[in-house]
Amino acid sequence: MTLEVQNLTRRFGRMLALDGASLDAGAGEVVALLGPSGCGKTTTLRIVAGFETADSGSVWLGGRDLSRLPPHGRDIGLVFQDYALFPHMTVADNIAYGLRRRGRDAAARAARVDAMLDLVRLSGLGARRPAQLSGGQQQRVAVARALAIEPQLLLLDEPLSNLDAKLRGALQAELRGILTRIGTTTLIVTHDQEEAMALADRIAIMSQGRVLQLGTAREVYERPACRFVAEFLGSALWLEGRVEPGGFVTARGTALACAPPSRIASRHGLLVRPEALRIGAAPEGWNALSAQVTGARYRGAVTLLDLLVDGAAPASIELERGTSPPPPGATLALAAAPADCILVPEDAGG
Amino acid sequence: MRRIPVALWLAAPGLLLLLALMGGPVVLLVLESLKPFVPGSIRPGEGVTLGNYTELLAPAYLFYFQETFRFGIIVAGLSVLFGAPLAFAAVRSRSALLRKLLLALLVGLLVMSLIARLYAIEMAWGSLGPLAPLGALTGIAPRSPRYAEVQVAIGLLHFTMPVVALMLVGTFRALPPRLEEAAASLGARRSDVVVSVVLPLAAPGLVSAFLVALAMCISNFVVPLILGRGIVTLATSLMYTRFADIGNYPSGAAIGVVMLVLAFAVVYGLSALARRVLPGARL
Amino acid sequence: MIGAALDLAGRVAARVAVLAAVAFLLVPLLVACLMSFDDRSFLGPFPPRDFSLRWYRAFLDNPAYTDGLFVSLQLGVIAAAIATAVGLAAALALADPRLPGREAMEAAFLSPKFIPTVVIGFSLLVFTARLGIYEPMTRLILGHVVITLPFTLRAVAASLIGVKRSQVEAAMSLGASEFRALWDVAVPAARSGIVAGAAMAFVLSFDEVAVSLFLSDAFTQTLPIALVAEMRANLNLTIAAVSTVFLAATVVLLVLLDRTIGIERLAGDVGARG
Repeated sequence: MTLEVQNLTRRFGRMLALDGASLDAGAGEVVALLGPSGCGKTTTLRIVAGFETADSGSVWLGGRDLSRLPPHGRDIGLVFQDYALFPHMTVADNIAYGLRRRGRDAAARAARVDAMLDLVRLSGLGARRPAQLSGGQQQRVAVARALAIEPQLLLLDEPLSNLDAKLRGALQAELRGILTRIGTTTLIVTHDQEEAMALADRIAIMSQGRVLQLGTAREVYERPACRFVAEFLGSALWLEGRVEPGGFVTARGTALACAPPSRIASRHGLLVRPEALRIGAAPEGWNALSAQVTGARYRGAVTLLDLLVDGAAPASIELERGTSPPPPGATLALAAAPADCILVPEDAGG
Repeated sequence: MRRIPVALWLAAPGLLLLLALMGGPVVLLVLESLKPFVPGSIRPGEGVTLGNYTELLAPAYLFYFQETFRFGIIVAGLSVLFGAPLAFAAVRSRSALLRKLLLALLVGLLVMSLIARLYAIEMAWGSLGPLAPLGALTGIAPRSPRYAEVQVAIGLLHFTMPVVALMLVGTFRALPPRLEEAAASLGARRSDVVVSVVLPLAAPGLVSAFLVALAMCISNFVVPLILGRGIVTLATSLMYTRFADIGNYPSGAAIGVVMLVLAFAVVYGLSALARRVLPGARL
Repeated sequence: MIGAALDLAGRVAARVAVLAAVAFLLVPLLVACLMSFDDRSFLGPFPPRDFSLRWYRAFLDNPAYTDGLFVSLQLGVIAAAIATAVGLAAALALADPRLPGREAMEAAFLSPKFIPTVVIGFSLLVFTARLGIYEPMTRLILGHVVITLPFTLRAVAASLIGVKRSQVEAAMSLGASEFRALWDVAVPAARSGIVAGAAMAFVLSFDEVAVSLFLSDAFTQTLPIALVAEMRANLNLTIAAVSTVFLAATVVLLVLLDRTIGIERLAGDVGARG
């Protein structure tokens, strides 16, 4: 079932929570809505689920306009951040709840509950109460409950944020497996980019009520649509300056070679991912930059070197194992291949 | 398209009920209080007058209100004074059984018939009762008519104390025990902890318990009716007499309006004042 | 040294205060209880010398009491049922953060608690007379619903605190209408508050004097009205017998409530009334 969200706006008092947000998901696709808190991603999810109403804009699911449907008529499975399991019902009753509301008979319900428990690997725990389960198990019950109704769309609100870091990794893989097996169109709301990249086919980056870019993890990381996307994902070295024929000149006057901009914009900056920076003199055809060391942070597996590049732009690069960090104040030569230097518009387009 | 929220539908029966059974009657009460009284007739006269209110400014009537507040303030004070240790013991006593018994006593009194309790007070503290000698310590002989005042005060105290104590149980439960442990770890003795940590933090709760007790006293009708023996007349009894004994509806209504204003002033006005004096207080 | 002495004095004073308060609250009830078994035919000094059940028989033989008991039971059950249903609905509404004017509504719902019951009784008398409602039972039910509503609302609201909005929304996303979702998710969680509120409403109604005094007539008297009339006329030990029955009923109710809800929780639900 395809999901199309078009131009949603929503104002809460003085705050504009959504300012023309649009996104789409193809049948069976998993899309993550990623952004900092307050960017409007939860409001978008609640509008799709029917718990909020948009001031303008529309939500279409499989060619059907959802705007006039109440939440219980939308056939959308929703997994809440706090799971929202019914504490007074058993796990099986929780999973069967939606089927009961749909008037399925007892035998059909029992069969479906068993299938769902199998899917989330909780067979045999149907008689337990939610309070008797671990956080990770509760999370999977919430997923099973949402999927039991065979929804046309699955919504996951920060699905793994309530779990501790170790469990999160294991459950990420498990959840991805479940999503692949069921093949339901899914929208995941998250502020965690690793979660978004691990679970989603495409990622929608949101900020200030708008979707700035919608693309695969590779696209949004390597070809960000604007400065916000570039700096929100991973770490970034952002150089200010102006586009010149054949390259870019920083505010300090350093000329750098790079590909021409992919989009016309009033202002561009130059993005270099720190992992593309090499310490040392630039080989033939590479861009040379100078940097000042501001500090070093030992992180066990890696040591991070904090730099001020080209006199103004902060960046952190990983030191090779066994190298001792240069003292603060030292000047370093850095090199970057032109292919790793990307012109990115300062502001999001139209 | 916005649907009417389900919550509004759910609130509607209650709101309609309140509007019909409180809003309407109170408006009628105010209108009634503005009518002139025709002696010897239940039917009020024509026209609008403030006479029923100005009448209440006479010293004889002001005395009733003054008495009402005197009883209220003394009883509310005693209620907090004894209710607070009771509540603290019910929350922080080391014995789980004692905690439970104290809570059971408080909840039990809350649900037990006040009439039965007042009768029991008459039995125990009345001139024939075993506690009469204790009552005599107030300086008023149990056989003198003025002893009714002592009994009314005792009745009001019995009425308010469980409520005050249960409110304070809520207050003390909300105090994080960590703070008391922290104070103790810094070398404070138990009594120091209570004085320097518990009481300041519980102050807003103590104030609101006092105000609720005061409001309960000035609105109470049954205690002076049963224990007052016609000698102690508080504002509520005055209002009832106006209506029942002399059929003066407009004057009764005026007293009712004044009491309404006083009760709300105590509960909302004074607590707003206390909120200003005690910053951070949630009353 | 002085600090330790003060500490000791403080602890002793606190114990004495607790003991005094418990004695103050309990002793009168025990005195009345003992007196109710007094065999003397008149009200004599405490303690009684011989014991009998004569005052309990006297109660049962007095139609004013037995009729009043029947009226009070009927009234209490009907008023408590209405107040609990309306209070439950209102509490569910107030638990929804999107309800417009929520705080004003909450204040309105709790306001009858702060209006002196005499004022409620008097104004309802004037009001029902104006509307032409003279049937005493109807008047009494209306009055008792008004005074008990804040208590049922408060008790239910206290028990709803643990229900998260997301649980209701989860039920809705699974196909339940909002009413159905509240019924399936919030109402089961509110059970303790419903029981506590209904018990509280019944007890309040069963003991109510001021409102009933205005709204009842000579033929429909509640038990409290009959008792108060008797107490003002001549003090006798029949009422001690009634008080003892009330005391016993309270203990039974308390044990039942402790079994179903638990005293600790109950103290929280009914104690949150400030």
